[in-house]
Amino acid sequence: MAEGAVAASMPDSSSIIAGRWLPLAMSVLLAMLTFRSLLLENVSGELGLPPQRAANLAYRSLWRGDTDGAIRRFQSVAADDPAFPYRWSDLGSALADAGRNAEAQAAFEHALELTPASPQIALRAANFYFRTGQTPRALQLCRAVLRRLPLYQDMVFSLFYRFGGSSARVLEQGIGSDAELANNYFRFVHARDPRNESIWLSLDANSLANSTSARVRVQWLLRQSRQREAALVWKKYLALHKDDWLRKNFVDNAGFEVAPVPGEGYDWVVEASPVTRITRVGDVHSEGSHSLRIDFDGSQNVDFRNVSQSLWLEPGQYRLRASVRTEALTTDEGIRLQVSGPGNSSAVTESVTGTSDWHRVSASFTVVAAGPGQILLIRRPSTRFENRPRGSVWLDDIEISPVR
Amino acid sequence: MRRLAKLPLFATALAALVLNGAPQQRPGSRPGGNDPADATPAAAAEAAVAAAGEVLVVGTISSTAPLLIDGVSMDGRAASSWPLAGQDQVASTTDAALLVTHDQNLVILDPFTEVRVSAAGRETYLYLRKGGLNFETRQTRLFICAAGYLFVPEPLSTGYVRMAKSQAADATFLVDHQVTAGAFIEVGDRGCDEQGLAWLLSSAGPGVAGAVGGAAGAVGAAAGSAAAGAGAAAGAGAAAAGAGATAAGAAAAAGTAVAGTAAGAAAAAGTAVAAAGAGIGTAAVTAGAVAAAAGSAVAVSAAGSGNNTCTSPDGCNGNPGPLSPANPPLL
Repeated sequence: MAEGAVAASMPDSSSIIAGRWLPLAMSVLLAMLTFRSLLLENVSGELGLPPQRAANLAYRSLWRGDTDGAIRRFQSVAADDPAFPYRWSDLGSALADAGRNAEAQAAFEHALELTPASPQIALRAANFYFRTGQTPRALQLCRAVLRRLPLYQDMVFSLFYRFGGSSARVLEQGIGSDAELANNYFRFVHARDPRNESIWLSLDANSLANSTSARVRVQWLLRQSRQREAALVWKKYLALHKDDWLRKNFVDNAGFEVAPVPGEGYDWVVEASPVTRITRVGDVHSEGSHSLRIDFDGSQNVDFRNVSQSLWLEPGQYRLRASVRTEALTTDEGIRLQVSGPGNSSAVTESVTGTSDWHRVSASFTVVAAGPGQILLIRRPSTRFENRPRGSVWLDDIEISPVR
Repeated sequence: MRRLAKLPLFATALAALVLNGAPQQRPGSRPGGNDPADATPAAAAEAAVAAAGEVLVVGTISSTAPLLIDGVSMDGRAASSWPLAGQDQVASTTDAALLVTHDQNLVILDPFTEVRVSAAGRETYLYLRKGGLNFETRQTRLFICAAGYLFVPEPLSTGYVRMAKSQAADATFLVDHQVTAGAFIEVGDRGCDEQGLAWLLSSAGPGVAGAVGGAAGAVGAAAGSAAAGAGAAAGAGAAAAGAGATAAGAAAAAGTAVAGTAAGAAAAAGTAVAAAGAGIGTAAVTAGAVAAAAGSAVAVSAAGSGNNTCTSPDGCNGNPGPLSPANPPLL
């Protein structure tokens, strides 16, 4: 009886299927079908992984040295996601690693077709072309990268520098007429190999050099004791009066019209002094709009040599002239201008003290052989009991001109 | 349908990929041989590059972290790998970096490792400035210069070479090295430098190197003596170096087939044996050792699985054989 009751209470198998279990089984089946359709739509055929994960696996193969396995995986991923340029680029890299350069090139070019404006894809392709010695194409791609993403400048410059070949070719094919980029590249190269002069020569020949690069070049030439070349670069790119400098006047920025730029070159060098204050002023001047003012504080018997300019002098006779103004400048030793030229040539103007309005001071000298020199604003130490200068000096319109 | 917009080009590219099979290896070619006919596709590409007068690429490097190539930070997000030119100095940063050499050897640089990469003919010369690396050589040897000493794993080897400063006040560099497959052809048997020229030009043959245990630079410089520093060269199979050397045990642990023979032969010949065994060991390279290496002392490394005893011009066991004037590294 009990058994019959149990048997009566248990459903048979057909009633399970046809009864309450049927909807559950149908739901599971439906879910599986849905998942399969999603799988077919969105994931890679290789291992059933999404393309990105499959690509990562391919990279792992590549990094393990399994180049062929990586290629197979990348091929599969690219086939599943053919519109995504990175997949083709990845494939190109793997093929290049295997030395299958023709196929690699097809893959990279396809990636570029898919996204012509992507700097990353262009850079990857450029790396491939550098790698296979197809430098013109690599430079062309890098040029596009530089135009689109200046952030990559140093990376691209590194490729140029290491693989681009001659500076002329890099400038022509990798940079073009963009003067700012060209000058940035010059400084990149100069910082690594200052003896590589071809980059400057190319920049100069193409009229792309700017004043910043020219200053770098001048400073380097001066450190190499190549003063004449430095002077010529200065004249072409940096002199305030390019036509007159080294012709009518061998002093640049003669009236202190622009603030001197610190660093080596042919501009004024002003060294700070604890007992003087040296300033470029616009309220007092004899010509132009500015002059140089020096205030002595009377605390020391100073040997003042703190304002100078390097010179390049050709053979000939010269006259040194300057406009000077003084106000209550004490002691017997006043302010002078002194030139030290090549071959012991030299000149010094008379001392100016006390109070005087603008007036000209002058001296003459002769240079026998071309060479570097220097003009200095000086105040010699006094031998008197009252020897600590106090007062002010203004200086303007300094000139070293050839005597015809 | 969007994805099919570029179908013709895609199909062309895909067809090209499918139709071109894997590169075929010339039947009968042997790994590591110097036969020009062994040229790999990469070598053929190199030849084409050289013929075009372009800069030869000596390898590529990849990392998930920024890399420094000649001091310029190269962002892994910008490109998956970067080509390397000869004499490039590469520094990994926070992550390891994979260097694939032009002769298809794999080198994984530890984080914060610096190497200078050069082509040595068809092979590659790595000057390890700092840090360490794992290698997996394929068809060619790999020349690794660490702390002034040359380590040369043979083809089909895996292992590592790492540099670290010792705790000693003399700033001794320790070179930790091991092979897990294959063997070292040389383990610090010769001096080397950044340019890779010193050991090429040294016609006097190998100097003293190997595991020179102990900060005292315990190199058994005296020819004809098996003594090496505080330790004495042991009998067959064990090469004892100074107090710090792990040589003897290492030789036993990882010794390859002929390591013992090499040591024994060296000892029998009255040559100072100063080396780690078969790839495992710690070479303490000191200024003293460097000086000794430059001298005329002859020491034979017991490491490198006995390949140092190979004198056949054809090489031994398919290997190119020891470096010698007759078999120079191809710089």
